[in-house]
Amino acid sequence: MKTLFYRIGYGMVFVIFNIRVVVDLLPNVIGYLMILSALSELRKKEHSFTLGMWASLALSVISIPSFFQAHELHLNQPVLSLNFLLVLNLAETLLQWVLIYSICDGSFKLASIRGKGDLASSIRFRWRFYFGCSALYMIAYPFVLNTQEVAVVLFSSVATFIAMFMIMLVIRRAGRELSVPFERSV
Amino acid sequence: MKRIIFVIVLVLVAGSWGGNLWYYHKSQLPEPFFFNHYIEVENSPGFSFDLLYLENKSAKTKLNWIEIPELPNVQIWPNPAVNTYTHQTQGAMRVEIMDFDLVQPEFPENGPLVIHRVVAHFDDNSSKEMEIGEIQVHPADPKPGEAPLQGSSWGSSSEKAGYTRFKFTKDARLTGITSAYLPQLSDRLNVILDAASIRNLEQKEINFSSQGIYSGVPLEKVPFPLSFKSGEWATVTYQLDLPDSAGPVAKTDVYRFLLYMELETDQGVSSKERIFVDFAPYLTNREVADFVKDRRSGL
Repeated sequence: MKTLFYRIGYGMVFVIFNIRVVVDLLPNVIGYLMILSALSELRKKEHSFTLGMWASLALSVISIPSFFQAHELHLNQPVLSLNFLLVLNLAETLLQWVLIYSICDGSFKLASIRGKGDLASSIRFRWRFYFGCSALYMIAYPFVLNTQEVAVVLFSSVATFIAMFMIMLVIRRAGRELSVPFERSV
Repeated sequence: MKRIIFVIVLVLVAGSWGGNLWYYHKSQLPEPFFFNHYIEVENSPGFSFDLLYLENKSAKTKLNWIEIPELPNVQIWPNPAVNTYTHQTQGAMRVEIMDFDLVQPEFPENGPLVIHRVVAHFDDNSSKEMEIGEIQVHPADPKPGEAPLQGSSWGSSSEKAGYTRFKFTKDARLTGITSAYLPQLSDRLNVILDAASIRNLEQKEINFSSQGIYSGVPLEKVPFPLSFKSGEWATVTYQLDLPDSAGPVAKTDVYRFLLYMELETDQGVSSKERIFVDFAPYLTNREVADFVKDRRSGL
């Protein structure tokens, strides 16, 4: 149990950080595959993880091109048309919402069942924080095309990064706190 | 989380992307455009002028340089980003007339060389002819007479106005003030002359807040020739005043032409003194957007 949650945490490290020297040294595809393998086990304990499993499967496929070529949304060179990489990027963000929702929802339910109220509310708060920041970023980003105001995009982008990092930490905490009752119950 | 919130966020995201991409595409120029220029120069080294243009910031092919086939003796200095707007950049091609030992332009027998198009070269190696308004090039005067006056002060402002003050160094007659563009721009160009001998005539004022109020007699009402004694003063003031009916394209017009004071001394020596009328627009984002809208609807 602990290993599975930790695997999600380590997978998220690959997703959150991009260290690019020609290719991505922390490829997102590896992160999504790690999360996929963890979720396919965890869904046996909690059905909510199933949605995330399918999302991580889709994400591991569509993140393959980003291993070779960066296609993040850039402020200095905003997207100029609906091209293939842009569609991939939008799809990745939307699927990330599904994935992180599923991880948080499943963990929240497991924590509630085990009576870990603190953990459950922390997971719920971090999910809401992440979703709010990420939604703000997704709504604000296209305005870069038509205005020279980028403060909201910069702010929401940094906040989203912090929120994902916070979720990664709480998932590791969930692994630690939820492993004990499960081991006892087996 | 309630599904309705997720749906609302998705709708907002889709609306933001759709709306912004639509507006972005609507704000693009179909192709680069040169502004409409009114340029008048002499074919002498040192004369230069800027040809201003607007192109999309994100254009796949950008204007690299231009060629003016009628003027083989010019050097072009491209400056691709004089002003940057939300969707466009305004660039300038500085055209400088170089030395006399280069191949010289061929002038028509009567009148100046008139140019309406340049060849624009793009960074994908393509090229096309583009309208630039009008450039009038006068042959260099081989024996320019020494004018019997000296410019003592001058000024110009962003209000499309300028003045030049002269002191006569010899007794002379001012027989007229001419320009290639005076007839064409009669709806927007006001020129007044101030001199002691005509202060009794009906005066007109040109007010530019940064420099004060200048008064004088409108050019068409000046009883040329006017006689000046050595030591007397004359002031020529101009203002470009666009009619209210002017569209967004007229607001981008670029002016760099000459007013010639035609002079004659008592000994019968004639000469010309130049006054530069120089105005390049400094456009706002709104004016650029109106220009783009006009260009898109016109094609």
